[in-house]
Amino acid sequence: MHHHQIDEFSVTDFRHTVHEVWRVVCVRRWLLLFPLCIVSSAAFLCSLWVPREYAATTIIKREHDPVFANMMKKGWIEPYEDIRRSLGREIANPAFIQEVLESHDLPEGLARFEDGAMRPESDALRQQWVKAVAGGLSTNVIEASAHRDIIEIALTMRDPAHMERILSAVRDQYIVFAQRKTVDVLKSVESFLRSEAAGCRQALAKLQRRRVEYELKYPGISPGAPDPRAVERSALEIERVNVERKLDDLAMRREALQTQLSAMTEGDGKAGDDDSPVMIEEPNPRHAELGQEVERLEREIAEGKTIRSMTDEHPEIKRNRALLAARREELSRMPRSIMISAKVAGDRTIRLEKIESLKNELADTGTALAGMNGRLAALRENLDGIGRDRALAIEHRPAYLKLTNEIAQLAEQLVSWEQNIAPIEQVLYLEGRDRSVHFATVQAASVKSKPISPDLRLVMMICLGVGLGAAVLCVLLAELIDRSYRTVKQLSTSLGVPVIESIDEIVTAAAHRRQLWRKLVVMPALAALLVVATILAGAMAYISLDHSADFEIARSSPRQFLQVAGGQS
Amino acid sequence: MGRIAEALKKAQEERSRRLRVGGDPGGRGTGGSILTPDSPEGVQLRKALAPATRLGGDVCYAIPPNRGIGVSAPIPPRPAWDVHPTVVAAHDHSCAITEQYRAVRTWLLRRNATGRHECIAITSSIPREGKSVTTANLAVVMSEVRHMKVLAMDFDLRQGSLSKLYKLPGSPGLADVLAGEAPLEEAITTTPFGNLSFLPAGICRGRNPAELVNSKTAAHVFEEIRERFHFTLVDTPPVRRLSDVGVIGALCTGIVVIVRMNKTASHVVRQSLHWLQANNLDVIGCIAADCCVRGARYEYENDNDD
Repeated sequence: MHHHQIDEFSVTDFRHTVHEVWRVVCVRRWLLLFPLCIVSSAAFLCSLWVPREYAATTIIKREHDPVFANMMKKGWIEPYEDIRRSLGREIANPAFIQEVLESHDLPEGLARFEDGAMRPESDALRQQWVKAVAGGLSTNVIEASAHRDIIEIALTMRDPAHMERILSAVRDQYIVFAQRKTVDVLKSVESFLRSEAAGCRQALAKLQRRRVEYELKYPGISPGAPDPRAVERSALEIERVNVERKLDDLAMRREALQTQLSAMTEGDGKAGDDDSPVMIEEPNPRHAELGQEVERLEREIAEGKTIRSMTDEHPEIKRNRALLAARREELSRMPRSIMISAKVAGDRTIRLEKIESLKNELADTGTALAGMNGRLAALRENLDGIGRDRALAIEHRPAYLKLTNEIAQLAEQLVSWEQNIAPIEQVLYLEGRDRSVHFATVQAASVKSKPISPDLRLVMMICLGVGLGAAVLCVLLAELIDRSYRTVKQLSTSLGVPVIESIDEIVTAAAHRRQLWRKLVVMPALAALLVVATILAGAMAYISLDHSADFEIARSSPRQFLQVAGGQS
Repeated sequence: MGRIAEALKKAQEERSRRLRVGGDPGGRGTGGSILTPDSPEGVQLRKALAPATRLGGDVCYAIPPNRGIGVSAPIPPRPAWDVHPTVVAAHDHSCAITEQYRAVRTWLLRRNATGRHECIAITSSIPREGKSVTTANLAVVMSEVRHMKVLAMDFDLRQGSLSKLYKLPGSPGLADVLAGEAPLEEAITTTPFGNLSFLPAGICRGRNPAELVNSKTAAHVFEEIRERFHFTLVDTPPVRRLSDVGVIGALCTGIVVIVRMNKTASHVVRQSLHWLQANNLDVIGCIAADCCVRGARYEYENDNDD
């Protein structure tokens, strides 16, 4: 059987691809392992020179006075967040750091001139420290509430020797600074609020003045307030109606008088010729009697219902009402005046006297009519003036309402300003007695023994990844460079001549022994050596990151480290 | 399954059947008493095969193209021959590698339909691809064909190694013959396998091998060898290093190129092949050597030489 010719796989076949990968891995296993070990070891060793960064932390607690805390609950959340953030920024401010380092005379042993001024190199060294500390400082709010804040201050530096001292100094300075900053902010806020309230008051007074002007200029402009001229207008209206009615009555009276006078005058001229009766108009006595009866019945009904507490169903009330209806109907049908004959009235003398009195009465009626007309014109003019004033008030009412709204808003704003000012005043008063904000150190400054950077797992993964990448690259390069024939199919396809046969590998015993020696001893030993080297390098990298203090001792004085290790064991 | 594999399987079945009929306990080698040219089976085989060609009183059967392999004739008992372990065909007659060489033999014999005497040059692109080992093994399996006179010739006058493989004297050899210092009959060495003769490379002794290769004597030597041997296998220098192959190939009837798998660069093989074809040489095929297939490689248990 030609086992060695079973190579008819499709390149697109996934299994073939996997098979090829596995074949390459098997064939070039040493080429995969050796670069992996060598490069990983080199990477592990190189990682020893990567600068380590250590972290020191301290935790402080800031407790607020209840008034201050209550104030922060009421709309002071955002401003106080700003204060928190600004404190976080300020702590890493180089000027602040410079101040801290100067106050603690750090770094130690700075060269100075005789007058105490620092030498340039010392100043440069301090600036380096300032830069390093400023770059490594950060704050982390662990807990934030209206009553208290718990803040972690962290410092990251490469040199762990002075970190505790620097961090403690920064913390102390930070506490002072935070208190000062809080007071400053509160004072600035108070002054701001006061200025705002004053401005608000001024604007409010101005608007109120304008509103009064409106109200004076346009009476009745306020929809809520009663119209001061409404009574006057009503009275004028009533008077106008009365005057108009009187005018009608006077006109009718004058017409009746004129008719009567003309009749009397014509009768006087014909009196010698015939004895025709002369008709004189007289008031109807029955009409007056019925009017009095109606008034009496109405009064009795009203008295019965009010004074005697009679209901509408009371028989007397019902009887009076029926009688009242009958009398009213009769009154409506009854004429006011009746015509009687002059003969019946009297003789000629009487008639002349009557004519004279009619003329006098007609003249009085004309005079009264003219007076009434004048009064009516005056009333109408007054009413028109009132109407014009009312139209103007309605026209300016939107502006007035807008003004009123502005006044209300300003008043509300003024109230809020004044409400905010009060607690600030109280807090500042308390701050004067050191009671508003209280700081306490929850955790003293301490340096972590393990460096925080580079990350142990990341270093391990990168080193092994680089090694693996190098190994895969080597294998890929070897596969790319290796242009030998691997299958008979390749051979026949490439050359174009028939492949007579494929002969298996002939291995002599000596070659076989050599191969076995190489395969079972030399290469595994070499691989084991490299693996051990890789493990050692990895262990060094691990110890340098996870037990950096021990590693530093071991690196600086291996003998001392061995003694310490021996003593511990 | 390829045609060669089918042929090998048929040959194995045929051999087994015949051995069962003849009762050969060894399973090989003693078949001469069972299937001889005069026995009924031999006569039947002769009728089936093509007309014989008489050469120097011996009979060589040309294999017809439509008859599968030509090794169905019983193999005469092979005497012991201490050769280099890599000459697998001389050590182990039934191993897979020997069968692979037999497949090559079958292919070469089937190619020769006319029955002419063949002279095949074995070459490769670069050194250490397996030319000499292939030549040595192929010559051994060729000599298994009864009445076929086979010559293994080492024409690598500079670094001839065939004599080391056969563990035969390397001198006098071809160089001596070409230099006129020894007759051909003296240079050709007989081997324990009767059908197989060996012509070592010899020693140049200060002479330029290229001149010897390009001499007219070389052509005469080849003519004489082709007259005397039915099949000549010539081990040559690699193509890329020397131009001797161009001359030697022209004296041969065909060239077989050895390609070492997983070793020789493909472009080198292609360049060599193009060079040979550009020189109007008949490259009849190639052999893939050192195929690394699991379970198929041959390892020796008893050898005392590297």
